[in-house]
Amino acid sequence: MRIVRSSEGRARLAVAAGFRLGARPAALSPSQRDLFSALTHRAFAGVLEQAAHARCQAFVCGQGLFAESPPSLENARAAMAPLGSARRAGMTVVATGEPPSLATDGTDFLAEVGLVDAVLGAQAPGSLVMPVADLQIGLGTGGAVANSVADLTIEIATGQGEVAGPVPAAGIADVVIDTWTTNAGSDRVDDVLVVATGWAGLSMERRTEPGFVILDIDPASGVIPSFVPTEVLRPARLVIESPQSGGEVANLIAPELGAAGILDVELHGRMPRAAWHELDPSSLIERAASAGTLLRFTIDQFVVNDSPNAAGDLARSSFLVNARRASERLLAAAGDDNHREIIAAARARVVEIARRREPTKAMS
Amino acid sequence: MIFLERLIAHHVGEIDDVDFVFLPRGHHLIDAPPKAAATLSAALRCALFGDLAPGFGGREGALVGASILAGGVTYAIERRIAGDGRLTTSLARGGSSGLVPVRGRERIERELERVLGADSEAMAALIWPPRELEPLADRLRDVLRAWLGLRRMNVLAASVEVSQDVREAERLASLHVALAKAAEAHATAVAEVQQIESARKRERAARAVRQLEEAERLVAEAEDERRRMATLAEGFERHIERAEHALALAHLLDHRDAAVGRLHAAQARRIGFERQVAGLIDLRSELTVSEQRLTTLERGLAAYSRADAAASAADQAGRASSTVGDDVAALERARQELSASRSKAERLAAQAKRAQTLSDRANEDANLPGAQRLWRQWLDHAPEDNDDAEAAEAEAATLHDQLNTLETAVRAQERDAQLRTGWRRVASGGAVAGLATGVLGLLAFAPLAPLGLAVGMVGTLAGIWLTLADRGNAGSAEGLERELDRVARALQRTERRRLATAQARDARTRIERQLQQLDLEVPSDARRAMVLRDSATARLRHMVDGDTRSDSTELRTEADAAALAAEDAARDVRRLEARVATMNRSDPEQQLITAAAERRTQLEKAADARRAAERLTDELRIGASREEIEASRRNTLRKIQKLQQQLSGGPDLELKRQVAIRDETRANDELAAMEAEISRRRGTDSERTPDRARAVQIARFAAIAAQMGSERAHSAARGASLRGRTVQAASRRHTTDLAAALRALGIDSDADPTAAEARAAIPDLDAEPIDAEQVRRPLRQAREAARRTETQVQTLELRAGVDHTDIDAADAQRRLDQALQARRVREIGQTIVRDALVASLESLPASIERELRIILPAASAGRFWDARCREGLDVDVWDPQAEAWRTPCDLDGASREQVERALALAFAIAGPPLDATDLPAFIWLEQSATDHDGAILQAAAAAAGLGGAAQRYPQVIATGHSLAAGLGRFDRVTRLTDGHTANVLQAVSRIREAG
Repeated sequence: MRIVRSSEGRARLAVAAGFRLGARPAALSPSQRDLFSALTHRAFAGVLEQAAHARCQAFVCGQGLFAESPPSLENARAAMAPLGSARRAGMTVVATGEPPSLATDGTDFLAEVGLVDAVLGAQAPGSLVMPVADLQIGLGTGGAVANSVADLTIEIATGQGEVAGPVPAAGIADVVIDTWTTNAGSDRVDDVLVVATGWAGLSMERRTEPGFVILDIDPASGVIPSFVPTEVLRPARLVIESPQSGGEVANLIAPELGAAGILDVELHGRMPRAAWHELDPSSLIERAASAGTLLRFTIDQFVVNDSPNAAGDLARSSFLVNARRASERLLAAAGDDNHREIIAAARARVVEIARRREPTKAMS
Repeated sequence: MIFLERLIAHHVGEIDDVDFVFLPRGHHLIDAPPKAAATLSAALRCALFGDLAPGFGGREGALVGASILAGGVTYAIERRIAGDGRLTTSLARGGSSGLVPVRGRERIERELERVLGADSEAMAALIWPPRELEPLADRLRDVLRAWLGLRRMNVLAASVEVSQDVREAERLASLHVALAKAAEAHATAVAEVQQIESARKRERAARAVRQLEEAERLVAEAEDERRRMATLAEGFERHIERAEHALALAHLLDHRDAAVGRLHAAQARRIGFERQVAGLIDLRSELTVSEQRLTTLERGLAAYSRADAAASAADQAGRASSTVGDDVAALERARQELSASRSKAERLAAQAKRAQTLSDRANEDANLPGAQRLWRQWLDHAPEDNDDAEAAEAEAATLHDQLNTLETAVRAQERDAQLRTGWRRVASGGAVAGLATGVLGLLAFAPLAPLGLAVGMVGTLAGIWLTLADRGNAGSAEGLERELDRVARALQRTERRRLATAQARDARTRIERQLQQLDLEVPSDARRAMVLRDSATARLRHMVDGDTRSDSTELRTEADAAALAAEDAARDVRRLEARVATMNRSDPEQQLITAAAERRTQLEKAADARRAAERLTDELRIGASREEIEASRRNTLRKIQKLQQQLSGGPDLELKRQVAIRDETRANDELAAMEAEISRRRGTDSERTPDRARAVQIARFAAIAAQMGSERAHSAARGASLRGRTVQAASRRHTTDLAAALRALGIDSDADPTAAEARAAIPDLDAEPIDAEQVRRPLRQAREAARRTETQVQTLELRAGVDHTDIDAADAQRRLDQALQARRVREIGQTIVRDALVASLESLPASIERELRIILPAASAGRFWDARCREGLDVDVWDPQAEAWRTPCDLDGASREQVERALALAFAIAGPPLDATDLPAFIWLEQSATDHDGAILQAAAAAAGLGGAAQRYPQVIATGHSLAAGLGRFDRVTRLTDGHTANVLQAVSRIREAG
């Protein structure tokens, strides 16, 4: 079905979300909080620069902009500079939604000073039609998108769960944009294109790559979304296998400090506790923050191995695995095939019952 | 996993009316005052587990409810709280047609127990993780069982329990098998006795038949001789008859007296033997009791022997374990050396690489002016874009093709022009000739005029047409010439470009050769050449500014030395890897485990054997020491030997009794025969002594008279008569024996069977004669075995309560095997379950410690990053500022709360095993009174979104008030004001609700 009603004209939109400018997560050390806050601004400026470089004519920002409200003067100033550059590049800027906090967003202030063209709130449904290149694009929140004037209508979802279902509300918009799902992607449900933008800003969770979506609108081919990673937040990655000393880790990390904005260090294998204490990750993180690098350790696959209880596996315990190991020990000590068969039968009985979701009676 | 969809509370505590809908994934903040938040938490606990908090109830319409999603099914729980605190629970279960109410209190409780578990404390610990783990650590085994599912664990325990029924079935099956074996042994012994006795009886019958046949033959011979002598003694018959009669009668009477005497003697012997046999029966009973006692004692001794052997094997396994332990230690040392060598090798390799880089840089510095010049020249002759060169090549080829085509066209045009010129000349000639012919016709011959005019006109028209065509072709030829010229010029340009490219390539090759001679880097492309040139220029400027040059030779030497050191280290690593591989090949760790398991098994066997011995000694009521058992066994053995000696004479005694009976029978038969003969022969007064003497005298007289007639005939007749009588007597005795033998064989016969009858009744009578003396001993042993096995059968029948004829040996053995296997399977199942639970419990501190190490930095804003968790879940955290381990109690207020929150979170995440039943997917975090800005709460919520915690708890619900903005991130915020909810974001979705 043709969703762009104009027969001529093309447009290119950038849609990004999750900036949370000025966020200072409590889970970080004080020095890292400052760095984290600065990185949120760098990410915002970088995304706007990437959008301008890609010759987008409009920039739509979901989930609001600031992590706190009202934003501090420092944060507002930091946001104004890249927005001014975007305006000078000819981009129309629209902010939608608000962060799920207790305060209101600071995007209204930016709209008042003329750096944001329009603000669509999440509390009440709103919509607007904006000219982008040769097209009239209808934007809306809360379902009030239907507009016969627009060549294309886009609904911006303002809360998680509203577009998470498989079928969006029919007849509301031509395109639905979900700014709350962390994984970027797109799907077509009936005739509606559902686009998840992912998060372009910096967040504590590192499950997905930060980035935003560019929508190429063409009457001939419709709307084509493409994901663009946030270059500023692309981390340097360092995997260290079984380091033997803290100094070894520090030496490997040292060349990256100051050179990379974000450095993800994955420690694998085992390390003596004395070496772990020699490493002193807290001071290393402080040093990295002083050098302008947000250092993040991943120790999911790492064991401090001279702890009295660290001899076990990396994962959580499992009754079935332990039962298997116990039966294997018995099998190793078994003297004949008959004994082994009995052990196997006992293990099978234990495993069969342990795997039942709702055991009802004992085996005979 | 169990997701929380909805929470409802009406008129409880500080709350009037709230209805929360939670996201299926994400962080949800409930902004509520502390009292309201506490009431909300208690409402959830009451809704889920029915735990009534103080202050609940007393208000009209008090109600709490929750909707959860477990295993893909929605459960709506509603608990109404009466004024007296009594709860009324209703439950609805999601189905295809919506929520279906569950009826009946017991069904509701059973359904809730199935979904939420029977141990509400263990389950609640995963929703509201406790900050202090000591209370849970005391009952950690029960908590672990609750996480794994009490119903499932109970079923598992019941399935591996060795119950009394199992033991009784095994004991009964064992008795049945023993009874079947004893019955089989008894049958075998009885059959052997019967076989031997049958052989003996056959032999006895055969002997009797042979003797009888011999007697018959002798009788026939005697009769024949008697008949021959009868003729000779005819004259003396009367005298002889009388004499014989008298003599025979007298002889019979003498024999009868002797037979009476033998009969009395045989009767006396039989009575004596029967008394002795009666005494032997009592001795046999005593022997049976002693043998049972001896068997029990020997089993006890055997148990002690097994215990000693098992203990010895355990000691040997322990020694082997220590030996293997040394190997394991050596292997570990080798691995450590290998790890150190690898680190050293990597470090040396990095140093070598750096030295090589420095050496190259020094070499460049040494030849820097030349290098800068060469790189600049290389850049000047940098290769053009490959695409352009290839395009030029393609363009030249295209132009060559066009040129060839155009030249061909021009040549064709020229040939056409020449041809048309010829035709034009022909047309001109034709026109002239036609006109001349027409003029000649008009002038001289009229008929030629039209022909000549026609030819002339055709030639004229053809000439005109050819001229016009020539003009068009001339224009086309000019166009072709111009195109040809253009293509030729383009081709020249292309050739010049190709030539320039070739020259640049030659120059580049020359420069690159020079660079290689100077051992300098050859640029791969123009960008790299530009970088090298700029770098060289910059370094030249630095040199000008006073920068010092490094000695390239020295650096080269250092680089070579570093490379050699790196190779030595790599060789060392390979050597150590080979050593570790060699040591690994014998797998000492596995041997160590095997030796430990063997030692444990042998110790268990020794203990079992000792317990068995003690149980047997208890049964015999003797001391439990081995010496006492052996002393008792010796005494019992001596007693048994004495009894056996006494009983060993039993068969002989029985044989003597049988012989006595036989002799008595024979004497009786003989007496009866004599009595009959006497009765037949004697007269009315033959018994009297004068008559017997007269008869003798007559006989003697007749003999004298016969001797007078023929001494020889008389003598022969008397001899024949004597032999005949002797043989007949013997024949009767043999007939009696034969009759007895036939009866013994079970053959029905009359009192005096013949040899022929016996042979007809017993086939193959003469086959394999046996010796009675040789058979006697096996017969005695077989009888003894039959008696012994019969006693065993009777004893086992009494114990098993079943007759041995009702037991199938194969079936009994199969049942015993099944019972033994079932018991072993259950015992091993118990071991597996016990070991698995112990392993899960033992690994819990390590899992918590590992998770705590991940969570702690986020929960404590980076202050703490290491912890140790010991058995009993005692936790210390490393204080980097003090460089010491601290317990949470040693920390100040905020730090202590951070650590305790991290510990609680780590416990809730790492505690439940991976195969636990449905666990809550939501966690409830509350703001403490000291956490004024909510920083600790938001840090804990952020920590709950990291790594494994995010997978374990997709739903994080936090309650707090006046939180500082920017410190955390929540996907949904709901405000609780004056006991009512007010979502900051719209809570109800148009499309999909939570879950």
